[in-house]
Amino acid sequence: MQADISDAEKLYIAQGVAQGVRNDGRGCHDARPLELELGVVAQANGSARLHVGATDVMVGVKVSLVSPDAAEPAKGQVFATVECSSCASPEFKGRGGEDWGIDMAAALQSALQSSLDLGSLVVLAGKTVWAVHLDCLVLNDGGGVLGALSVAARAALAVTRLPKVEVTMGEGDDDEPEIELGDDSEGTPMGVTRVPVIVSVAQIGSRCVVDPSAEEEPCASAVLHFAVGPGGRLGAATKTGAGGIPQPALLEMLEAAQQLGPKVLRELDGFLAASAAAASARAA
Amino acid sequence: MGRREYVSDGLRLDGRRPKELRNMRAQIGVLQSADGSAMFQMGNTQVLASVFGPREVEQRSQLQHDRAIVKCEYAMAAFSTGERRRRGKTDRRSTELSLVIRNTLEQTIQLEEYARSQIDVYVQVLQADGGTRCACINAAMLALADAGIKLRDVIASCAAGYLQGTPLLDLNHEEDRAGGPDISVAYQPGLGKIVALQMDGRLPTEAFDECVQLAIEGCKAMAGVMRKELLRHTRALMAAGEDAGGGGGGGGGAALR
Amino acid sequence: MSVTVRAYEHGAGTALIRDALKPLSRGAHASAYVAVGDVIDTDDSDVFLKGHGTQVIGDRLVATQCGAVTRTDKLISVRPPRERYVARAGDVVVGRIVEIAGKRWKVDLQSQQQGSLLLSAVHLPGGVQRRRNAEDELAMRSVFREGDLVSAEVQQVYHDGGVHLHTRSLKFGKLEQGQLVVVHPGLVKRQRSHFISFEPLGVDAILGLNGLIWVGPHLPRGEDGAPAAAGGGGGAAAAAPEREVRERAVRVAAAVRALAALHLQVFPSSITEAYQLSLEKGVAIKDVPQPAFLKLLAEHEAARRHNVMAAEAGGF
Repeated sequence: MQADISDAEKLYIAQGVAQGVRNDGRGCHDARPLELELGVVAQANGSARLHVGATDVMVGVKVSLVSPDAAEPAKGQVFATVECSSCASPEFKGRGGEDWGIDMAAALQSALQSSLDLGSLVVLAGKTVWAVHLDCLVLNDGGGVLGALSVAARAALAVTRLPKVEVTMGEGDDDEPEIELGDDSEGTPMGVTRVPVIVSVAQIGSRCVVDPSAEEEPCASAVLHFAVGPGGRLGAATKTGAGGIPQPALLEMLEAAQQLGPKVLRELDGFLAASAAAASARAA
Repeated sequence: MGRREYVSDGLRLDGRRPKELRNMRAQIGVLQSADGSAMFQMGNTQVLASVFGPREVEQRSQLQHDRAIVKCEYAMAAFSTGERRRRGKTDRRSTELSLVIRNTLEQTIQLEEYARSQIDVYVQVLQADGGTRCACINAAMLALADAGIKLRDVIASCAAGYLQGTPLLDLNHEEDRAGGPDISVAYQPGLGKIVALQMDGRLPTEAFDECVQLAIEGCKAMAGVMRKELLRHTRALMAAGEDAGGGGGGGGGAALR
Repeated sequence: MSVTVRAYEHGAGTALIRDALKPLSRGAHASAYVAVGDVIDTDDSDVFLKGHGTQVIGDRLVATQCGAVTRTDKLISVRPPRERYVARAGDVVVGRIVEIAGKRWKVDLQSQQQGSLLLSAVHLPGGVQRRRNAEDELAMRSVFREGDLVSAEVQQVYHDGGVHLHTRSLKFGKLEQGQLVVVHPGLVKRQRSHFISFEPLGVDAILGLNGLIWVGPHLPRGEDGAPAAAGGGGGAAAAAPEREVRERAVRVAAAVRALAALHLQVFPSSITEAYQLSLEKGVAIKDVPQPAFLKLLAEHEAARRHNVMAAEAGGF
């Protein structure tokens, strides 16, 4: 969503970027600090809330047992939705922000479908699989929302526990197996190592900046959103914005994303591990 | 399947006594971009509210010369209910609740102080475990106070029900679903006024009075907790602003309205 | 290019300043705070004037806002920590043009109603105030267009709440070469001048009473207050400031954000102190509004107040 900004402000920002000085003092390759809260929605199977600058997003993960897709009987399913809460701004009331939410959900879903081990979500091949629903809520748009959603999604998935399932095979060949959900206080974690983070890189003038803020986004002729996995492996990429990107700039932007992505993943995983350790120490 | 025991040995399903409220938690000023905001929690029910305004009226045709207009929208996050459900903001329940909340708030805001302007109130349910409409009203009231919008009184909202011949305070979702009557009340403790009352289900007349009374007692207790949090938050913000060198008058020399 | 991931703490800024100031709270300035609906002590007097944030119910004075009770003679008011900006004549404000309608610009002041800037209240090229003609109206967009930020003075507030602005003095007008920092209006107090020049830094700031603050490199002005470079529309012709000057301007903006995060008042000396402290402690600009420096700033402020209180006490 575009912030209201004057041409004079845009010029100041663009000139600053050219000098390597952004309005919040960051350098072109600096990302904003990420502030995370885990398990904010106790009734969900996993959840996280993330603050990045003024951006504020929340992700809730709910899992349910479903019949698999006929075309993919040995795979679980993952779905992502993004809703812009009216709490963020009057411009999101009613159906405002709906299209934007749909676009972001599509990007997230594609990143997750290609990185989650959907085979591990099978309970009974051909009959019962887990469907993982990631529902995201944008509580404030301070720029870089898609990136923030991807980090919150990964964090929420990392703390998601799949309830234990007891499968009792039927007596005869024709009897349906019985499936019982166990007590979900001890569940199995999901494998999230390959889940990427989305790094947004904005082209402003002839330079590029990572993690654009709300005032920087309207100054960008184009923004590339790269899904970057561990080791800098590139997943999906999408472009937003009306301007074109010359090829050398494209490579520069890709490199910036591949530098930043793994760092974010490392720090995030470090934080998640420390939180988990603290939680089990408390429980002990 | 045998009949469910909602109250046995004087204890409810979650271990509470019949007249016991769930644990409450209020956080004020949780959203940066809003003029006022609050998070309100009642047991597992968790609601976020934000307020924008008073501000310029968006649609000139709706402008009122002598008072503010209030817009309210209620929404539930897809992950908020036990069984995940994607719910639009314009479905019947959302619309109904938006109206109820708006009506309640309109009685409490000093609308005449904000002539020709608009106040937007948005509530977002993050977790629903019974008493959501009450939690929404409480969160909205705190958010309005956070925005510095003038109120005739605080409002507290609470629900009471009647199961197995026992009046129960602050029903959770399971108790709510039991099919017994459910009365939700919004109350202004200082003025002693009921600003909202809604009952679902059938209730013998004697029990009605008892339940309303119980709900009011619940509201009074909740108002006390919310008031404490409002004071604590106010103190924290203002202690910083007070200049040791004598303090600025700021907007203090006020005109009588 | 380090990345930080940390736990989120709600109300961290408020907690920091509260903890830092706690040892001082036993001072004589401890205020009475009320919540909405509280009965306000009127000292058993029947005669009192009901001020801002209060209402009379029966024979009692009741608060309609949360805040500090202020008493001036018989006028009892409640001053809330946060409130949308309420304009008063003479206020210097910064606002964004949102609409051009008829002979006026509509300006978003983040207040109860939008401000009106009439064509007749604007200084137009040509120097001398002249009668507005039809050409002027059509050319309004070339003076200020939608999205532009302007500084202005509140000319008059009408009884229906309408706010009329003017930019007749040359120091007002379109804002260029800088950035906007938005803080709560309560943090900006009325002072002699809202156009601040941090001389040794080469940085200027405009402190809008509506909480909109403009920070940018110093623009030389003539004696009449007009920008010396180009009249009215520097635009693309304006030369970019040097990197050093820009860094100083961006650091001043960051200092303002840090003050706002701690709910401290924003005025020239507090900005300068926060700025100097950040340099002293070797804090990178991007880290100025972050918790580590905020803690230092909170402690610095506590020490400053302690010294002021000690000096006052010593004065007796």
